[in-house]
Amino acid sequence: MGIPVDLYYTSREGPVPLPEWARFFIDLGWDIASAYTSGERLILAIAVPTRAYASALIATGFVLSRASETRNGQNTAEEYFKHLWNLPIATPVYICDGKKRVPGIIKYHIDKAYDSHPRIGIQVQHDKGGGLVRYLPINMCRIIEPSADKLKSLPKSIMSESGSQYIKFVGTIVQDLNIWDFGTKSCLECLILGDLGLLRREVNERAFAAKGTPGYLSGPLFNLIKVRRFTEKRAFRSDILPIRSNKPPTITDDLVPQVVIFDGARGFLNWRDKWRHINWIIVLDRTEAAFHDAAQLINAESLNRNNDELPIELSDLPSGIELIAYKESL
Amino acid sequence: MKFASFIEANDVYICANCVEIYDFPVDHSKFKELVFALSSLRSTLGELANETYWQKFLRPLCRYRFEVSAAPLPFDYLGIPMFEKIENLKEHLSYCDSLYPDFAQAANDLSELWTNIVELTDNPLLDAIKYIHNSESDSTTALLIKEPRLIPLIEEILSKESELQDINVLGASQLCGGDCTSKLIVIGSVSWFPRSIFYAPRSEEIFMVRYSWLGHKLNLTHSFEGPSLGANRIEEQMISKFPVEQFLNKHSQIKEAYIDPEEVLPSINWNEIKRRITLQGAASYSIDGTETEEVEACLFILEGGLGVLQDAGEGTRITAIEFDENNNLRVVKIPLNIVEPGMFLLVRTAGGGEYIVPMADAILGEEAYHLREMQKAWKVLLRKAVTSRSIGRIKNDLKKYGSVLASEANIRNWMSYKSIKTENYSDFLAIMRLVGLEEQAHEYWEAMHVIDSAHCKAGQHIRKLLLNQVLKSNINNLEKVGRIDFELPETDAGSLTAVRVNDIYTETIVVPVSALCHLVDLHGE
Repeated sequence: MGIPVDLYYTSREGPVPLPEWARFFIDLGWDIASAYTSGERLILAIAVPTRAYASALIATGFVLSRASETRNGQNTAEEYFKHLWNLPIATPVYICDGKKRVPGIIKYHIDKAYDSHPRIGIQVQHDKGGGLVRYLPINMCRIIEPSADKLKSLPKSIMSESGSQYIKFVGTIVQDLNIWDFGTKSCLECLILGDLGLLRREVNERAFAAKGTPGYLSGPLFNLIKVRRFTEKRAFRSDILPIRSNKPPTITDDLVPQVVIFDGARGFLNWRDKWRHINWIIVLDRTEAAFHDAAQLINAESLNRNNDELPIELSDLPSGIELIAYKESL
Repeated sequence: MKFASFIEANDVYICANCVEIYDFPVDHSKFKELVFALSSLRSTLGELANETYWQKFLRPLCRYRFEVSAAPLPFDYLGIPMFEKIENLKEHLSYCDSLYPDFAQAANDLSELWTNIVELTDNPLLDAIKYIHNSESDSTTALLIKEPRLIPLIEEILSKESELQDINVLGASQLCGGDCTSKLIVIGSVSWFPRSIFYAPRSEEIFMVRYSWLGHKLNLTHSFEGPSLGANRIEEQMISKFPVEQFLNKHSQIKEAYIDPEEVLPSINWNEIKRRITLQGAASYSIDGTETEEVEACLFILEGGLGVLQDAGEGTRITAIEFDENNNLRVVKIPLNIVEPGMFLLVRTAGGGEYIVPMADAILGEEAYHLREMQKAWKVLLRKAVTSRSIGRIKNDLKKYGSVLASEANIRNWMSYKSIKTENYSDFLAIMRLVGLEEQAHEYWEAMHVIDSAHCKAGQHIRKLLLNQVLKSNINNLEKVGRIDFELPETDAGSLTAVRVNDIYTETIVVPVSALCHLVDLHGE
């Protein structure tokens, strides 16, 4: 499938590539994002030996796919880098560093840095303050924004780069992501219904890593799926609703997600009717008491399917996983 | 559900990928003879086996057969009490010649076989466990038991064997998180356990240790129908693990050499349960001959063959204990329809009924009796009025008397034991007018306030004490055995028990309120 998501996890021996099952979930989420069109919805259910991280990883693939520039037909990072490269030296720019916009000027064009890749050097500090230059590669060039304003002078002291770790983490994992858009614009791509406590831990655990220079940058899945509930009013791309109540889980505004992920049988059994017109992904843990009830219900629902074809291309499933997928008309 | 880290989740998928399952039958000729003789007698008796006379003999023998088949117990594990029980049953069987002459010989022969076997110290299942566990000294081993209430007894037996002391004894509900083990020894038939034990294994090797006469019976169907993937591989793995002649589809006949594993499991004695509930209902008629309240109840099937009926009405909330995502215990008060298998319900250990009411009465002190009589008085009168006319007419009458919120649902709620008073005084006054207590309306209203306040205080106090007790509890034990008793100091709530919910019987039955919250032995003993 060739999904451009380069994510590692922190094993007992240090960062290693994601195992097959985790890779499968990310790829599944990525593919689902392009598997449906208007007028129909996709229903996909998977039976797994443990629900742990399944929904979070599927959501990761889905959100990143929806944000991917290649998928969205936007200019690639290479094209944008070339555009910046062609700007004259001393062109004023901004570096969009998290929430901050740091002023700078284009100082250098480096054909081949230490890793043989080109970089643009942006000076962000006045010479009298030290003249700090940030060298940004192609996959991070999206944070450079040419300025329409004339720059008076560079600051002598540097503001903290609190957002840069996040940018490096995300920017390394997905090459053709518009980091600025991803970091500042909100939309509800995906909604997860499940146990809030479990999902919170999975999303916020710093169990994952991206290749840095040198070494690895650790980070949580939260940086990739940006759950509204945990963003404290910053930009979001997904949300989690708890199911442990006799009141239906509700989104407080008019946003409609592209997909609802039911994390576990209970949420699906209790609240599926509220999300009838939205794509479903149902994650069923085989050890759940309600597993069989949910599977039976899914089989009954599948009688509404349009045809018997699998709506997404899938290679072999990892051991222990069983899957059903179909489309139905809206 | 317990939290599993990414590394633990990875271990689970590794197990799913490489699990090997082995069938490990063991033999004991005398036990086999007993088992087949029992099966033969039950088959010959047919419907007669359900009669009280035969149940008295068969039930303890079936229980013995199950426990010895489902756990590594020596045949003499019950000791002297079992000898005494068998002697009593022999006396019971002495009437068989006259009552059931056709079956007397078979019954007496069976009794003799039982007498002989309970004197033996043999433990073939334990011998098998020793063999399996010792074959690789650096692996971790867990032992899976069908009946978690036997775990303390099994742990005691294993503790006497130095080479088996590191074996972790578990029930099926504990094999759901991220903890994996090298070997899992499962005692009994495949069909006794949830499919997830094999389809979502938590070990790289699974050994099915069972008596050779105990068949396996597994329904190998896909989880999903329609356009699906992955099922065939799981089925192929399962089929390849068991010898074909011992592996039976649920639709096939059991071969003569095997006993159906379903037959060995203890059965729920529904007739006995209904009989007891009916008796309780008959005893609950009040002195003035009016019916006490009846409610729709659902049965929670609890660990250890216990059950409890809970009010299935809307708005019912119960106190439960569960593990949070950090594997700590927490006390929650939740709607009944949120309760799931794996949670622990809180019930009174003996005596049954609500535990808030005795505590509230203690708070009310000397006033309790008088206040409760007042509470009963207006509710009984309201109930009488509804019984003699229709609830629709009562609704209209209440509205005429000034009620704001009178509706059929609210009237039922006001009559119910669950509510102490109405929300608004205007509704309460209307009820007082209806039942002829208008002049004492204010006095009754004040009294209900006092009761309500006592209930709130009782609930808060019990919850606080319970939290303290829960924090001190042996979580490991609670998870394994599925039950823990609490003594709440300084209360009249008595002792409370938290028992794991194994299943919920969704079909409701109408029972008197007095039948609620009583622990019931579902196997009728």
